Amino acid sequence: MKSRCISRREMIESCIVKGTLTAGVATLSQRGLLSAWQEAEGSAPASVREEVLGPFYKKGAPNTRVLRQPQDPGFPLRVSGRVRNTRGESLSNASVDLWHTDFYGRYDLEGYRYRAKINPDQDGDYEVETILPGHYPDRPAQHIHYLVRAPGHRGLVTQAYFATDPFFEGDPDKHFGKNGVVEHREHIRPVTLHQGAAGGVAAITFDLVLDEA
Amino acid sequence: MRRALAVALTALVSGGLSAQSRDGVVVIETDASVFGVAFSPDSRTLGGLGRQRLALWDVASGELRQSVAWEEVRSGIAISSPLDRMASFTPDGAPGLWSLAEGELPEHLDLAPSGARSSSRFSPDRTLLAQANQDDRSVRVWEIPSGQLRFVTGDTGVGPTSPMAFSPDGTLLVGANGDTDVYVWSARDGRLLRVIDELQLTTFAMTFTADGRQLISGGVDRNIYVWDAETWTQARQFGQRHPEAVRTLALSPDGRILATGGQNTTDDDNPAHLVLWDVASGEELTRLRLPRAVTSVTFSPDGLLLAAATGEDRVRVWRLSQLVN
Repeated sequence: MKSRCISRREMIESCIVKGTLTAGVATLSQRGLLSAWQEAEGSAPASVREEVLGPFYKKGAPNTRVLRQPQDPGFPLRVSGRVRNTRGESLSNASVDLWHTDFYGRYDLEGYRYRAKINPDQDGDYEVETILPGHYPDRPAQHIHYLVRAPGHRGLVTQAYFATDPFFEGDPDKHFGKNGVVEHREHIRPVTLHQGAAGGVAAITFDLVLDEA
Repeated sequence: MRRALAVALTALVSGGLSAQSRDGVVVIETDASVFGVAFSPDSRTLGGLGRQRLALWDVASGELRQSVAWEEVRSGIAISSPLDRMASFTPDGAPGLWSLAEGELPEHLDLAPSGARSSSRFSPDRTLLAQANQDDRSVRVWEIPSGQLRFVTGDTGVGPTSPMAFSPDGTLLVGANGDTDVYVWSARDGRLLRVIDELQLTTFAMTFTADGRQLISGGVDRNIYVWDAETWTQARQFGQRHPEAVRTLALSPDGRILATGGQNTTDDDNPAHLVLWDVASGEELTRLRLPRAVTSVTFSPDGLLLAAATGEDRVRVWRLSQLVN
């Protein structure tokens, strides 16, 4: 016997017809109930997709929000975002490991330069001050690695990239698949420029959305 | 599955591979990177496994004996030592497993499909195949040749589990995870016995000593660690570090020499070293500079030869007596 997957809309309509989904507000019609449900589902964040962990993760990184030192070469960068689950709940009890290369494309394997393990604030927000990573031959797009854990959720391994990276030749939509470096277009983040105390500061946002375990 | 094999066998190729002898070293040029090498039990045949090809070469001449190619790019490459089994997994997670009998064409064996992004390893007696699945973060162990699934481990944490090693008696399975933890399972039922969490950087390669009492490991931090396989504490480190990250390692049949192959982890195309160590003292015996990352290293069962595959698409075979006294 052939079976067919019903659509999400059909499932919700069926629930309304069978009375397993009813409006708590008397003025909400069946059509209004359907669209309210779909609107609420549409605002739930999709989980961030996996990218490779790579060989440069180092356990034991310091809990610091300032990875940049005053004389470091490299353009100052602020990275921020919110750690949530797919129900939109903030995960303030998450831990966020992030690491990247120095300006010259080198990972610090002896120490912990450009490495941090931080906890988001009570709203699930995180922010670090660092520099734009460098390039290296095996993965020639600037990137920041993430390893995110939260109790009751599937650990997330992913990466953020930069739309201004010369690697994308000014057009990330066209070139994001180049050399198979970037796995997901949405991980290439738009870069905004701000005035900092000592000059320009680049900024990206990268929300980290985890699946429940 | 049988039909897929028929397709693969019709793609038998003989071109694109050649050998030459340089200063007594047999250099086999391949047309694609080889990620696993092993000698046959009689030490006369060398097998190489890549993502799209397996090949058997005559050791004395370096001539290609047999080759099987397939169109899709495979992962989870495993080759037994001594050479009689090879395994790899298609992008859909379907395994290919070959049994090699004395120069005969490979025979294909069936296994249930599993994850595509994976690594795998045979037990020393080649009756078990472990596959670490990066997608569901578990390790499966099959009995060979029946294809019976023996167990699936619980969650192996974040990051791929690679590499793995079975103890010589087949009772333990060890896997090193990308988040730097090393798991020790019972190979009988998959019960988690221990997690070693004291390493800070990723392990790339490990092997048990022949008596099963110790595990030797190496990875990104360039150290070579020796672990007590009963207490799972660190017994010692070798006196020096490998020049690059330790990508691969192998013990000689008599257990006296360790070979480690290196990799520049930010640029595979950079030169890397093959280093031979005295296991008892942990001191370096000799080192060779090779043009690219060393992807696999193995000793012949008779203990006379050493072979290494490199990222420059070459497999080199040395007489061990040429390298060490």
